[in-house]
Parts: sequence; C-alpha cells; structure tokens
Amino acid sequence: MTCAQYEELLHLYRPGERSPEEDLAVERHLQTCARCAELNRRIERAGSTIKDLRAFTPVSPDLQDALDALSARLSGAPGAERHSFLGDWLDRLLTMFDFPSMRYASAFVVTAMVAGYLFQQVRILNDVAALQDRLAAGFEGGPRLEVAYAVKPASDALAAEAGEALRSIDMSDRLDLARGIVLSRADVENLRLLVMRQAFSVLEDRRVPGLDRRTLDGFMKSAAENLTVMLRIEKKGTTR
Amino acid sequence: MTEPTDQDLVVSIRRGERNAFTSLTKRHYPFAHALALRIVCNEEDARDITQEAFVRVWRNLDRFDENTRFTTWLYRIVTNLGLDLLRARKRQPNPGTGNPGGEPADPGTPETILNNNDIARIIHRLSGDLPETQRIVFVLRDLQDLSIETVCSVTGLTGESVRTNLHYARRRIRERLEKEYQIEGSGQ
Repeated sequence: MTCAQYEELLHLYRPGERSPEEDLAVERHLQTCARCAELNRRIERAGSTIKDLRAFTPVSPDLQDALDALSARLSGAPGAERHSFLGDWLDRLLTMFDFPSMRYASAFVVTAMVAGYLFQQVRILNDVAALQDRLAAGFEGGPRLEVAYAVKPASDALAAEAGEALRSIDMSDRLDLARGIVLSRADVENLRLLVMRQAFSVLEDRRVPGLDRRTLDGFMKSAAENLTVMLRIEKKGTTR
Repeated sequence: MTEPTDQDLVVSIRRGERNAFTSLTKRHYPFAHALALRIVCNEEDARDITQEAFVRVWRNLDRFDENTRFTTWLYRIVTNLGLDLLRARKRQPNPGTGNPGGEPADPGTPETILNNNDIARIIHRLSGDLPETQRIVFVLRDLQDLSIETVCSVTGLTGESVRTNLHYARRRIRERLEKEYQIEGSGQ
C-alpha cells in the first residue's frame, strides 16, 4: 500500500470507519513512515477542532412556537387519515420525486426511451433507403424500387371483420415480385416494420365504420404475425 | 411507564391521534433543525426546512415503511430539502443571506458561547465550497454524529462511497483549518 492510500485511511479516524485489518496496517505504517506520522498528527488536530464544532449544538427554536406554526399549516391539509385510492397512488408517486436520485433516474429513462425510439426510426429509414439503393444498382437504366405489401390474415373471420380496411392495404394484385434478389433477415425485418407503420396509418385514416379499436388491434396483431413483405421493381418510366 | 417508541407513535398517528404527532415532532424537532441548519447554514432557511419536513411527515406517514427507522426517513427528507435549497441558491446570481460570508469566526472551544448564526458561519466557511455529496456526508457524520450505516441509509450511498467522500471532505476541511485558522499538527 502506498502513502497516498494510507492518507485516505488516516482521514477515516473515527470508530467504525476502518476495518480491524486497516487499523493494524495503519498502526504499523505510522511506526515506519515519518511523513505519514506527521500527517496523522495534523489530521488528529483538525479532527479535534471538528469535534469541538460538533459540540456546538444549534439552539432549537421555541418548540411551542414551532408546533403552533406547524399546526396552522396542517389545519385543513390532507393528513395521514384522509386518502382516496387514486390520490394516494398519485401522492406516493410524487413523493418519490422528492429524492434527487429518482428525479435523475426518471429524466434518464425518459431521455433514453425517446432517443431509442428516434434512433430506431432513423435506422429503419436509413436501412430501407440503403436497400433500395443496393437493389436499384443492379438494374440497368436506374430502375425504381417501390415497397408494396400484402397481408395474410390469420383467419377468414378476421379478414371479414377487417372488411374494407383490409382490402385497402391488400395490393397483392399489383405485385410483381423481384427475382434473384436476396434479402437478409434484417432487411425483411426493417421492411416489415415500415409496412406495419403504413398499414396502421391506412387503417386509422380510413376510420372504417364498425371497425372498433379492439377489432383493429386484433387484426393488426394477427397481421404482424402473418405479414409477408414483397418488393415490386418498377423500371423507370413505366406507367403504373 | 415507558416512553412510546417512534414506531408506537407512528401507529397512533395512523389511528388519527394528533397528540402522537405532537409528541413525535417534539422528540425530533431539535435534531432535524440542527441538521437543516448545518446543511444550509442559515437560521431562517433551517426553520422553514424543518417545518416543511414535518409537514411532509404528516402528509405521508401512512406510507412510511415500518421496516425503516423513522429517524432515517426524517433525516432523508430534511437532507433532500436542504439539497434542493442549496441547488436553488446556486442558480441565483446573488445568493444573499443564504450564503454567509465575512470574516471567519473562531471555532474556539466548547466553552465559548456561539449563537446559531455563528455556528452557521463557521460551518459554511469550512464546508460551503465542498461538493454536494461531500458536504452532506460531512454534516451527517461529523456534525450530526450519525453512524456510517445511518449515513448510508439517509443518502443512499454505499459504505465505500461514504468513506471516500468523508476522506475528501475531511482533507479539504483540514487544509482550510490549517490555512485560515492556523491550526497545525505540532501539538501547539
């Protein structure tokens, strides 16, 4: 152990601050190191002054005055005996923010979630753009890639429930599958997410009568599990 | 008849006994006030913080965890209120009365009569520029005389972190004492 490390131990001079092994090591070191022994004397002297300062106990305000002031503040204030379940839960949540660590942790979590979401969105768009470039590069005359999609519902019943909304995003009759292009698992996943987002948007915009939120959620869950992503390559200048 | 424990009083308060709250406040007000004064180094602010701490105790007592010591919970509330005030002061361009300065008061000897403002001024002079955590650990351990374990519970720091902060705080304070109060280690 170096003298710098002993210095830390020397400053931990009050009972219970060092382990018995550290006490022994310090004692031995002080017998052989004049510099640390001198430092220890200075630390003891300062410690003695701090001890004197500790002895100066601040005079407490008049307790009766303090209690009166407290009582005035508490009259009518919500106390320990009056709490609704919701208010109780909310108060408990807010009380946690009395602690600085909770405030910092909450801010960190929210920031991380927002940053993570934005990062994911940017990454998906970048990856899809890169994929488009990669695919387009293989075609003479600068072909254009368009992402299309098809949804295969889990059951006919679900398809019927989805009704017009399902047909509005089913573009299978217009698909012209690219051949000879190998998509990685990540490519497919990125496209799947992109398509899902578009599908959500279509379904929300259409506001199909009779298609309530629960049915929509069920349909989208099923669609997510059964979604197949296909690519349509359209040569530049082709009339759609 | 034995005095009711803090836990007994907490149970009574939860049953709606206002007198039990008065007893609990009387029992712990002086220590809470001393802690607040030693953290914020200003008598008026210390009184406000102490009162606010007991208001929060009253409002939140029904969710106080009985496995925790009441005093640990109270000191944590006071400490956090003190820290909030110190941070608010830092954000203000002119800290005003909350930041006692002037000539250093003599730490003197225990026989010397010091009022609260004198004590606040000395503590501020010695520890006012310490980093937040070092200052809190120093106040809790060296001025309020709490055990390392209690300091850990109040601050949420580990034992090793408390020891490290204590070391740096005491070193800075020793250097300040040697420089400003000519306190040296030669046994003078």
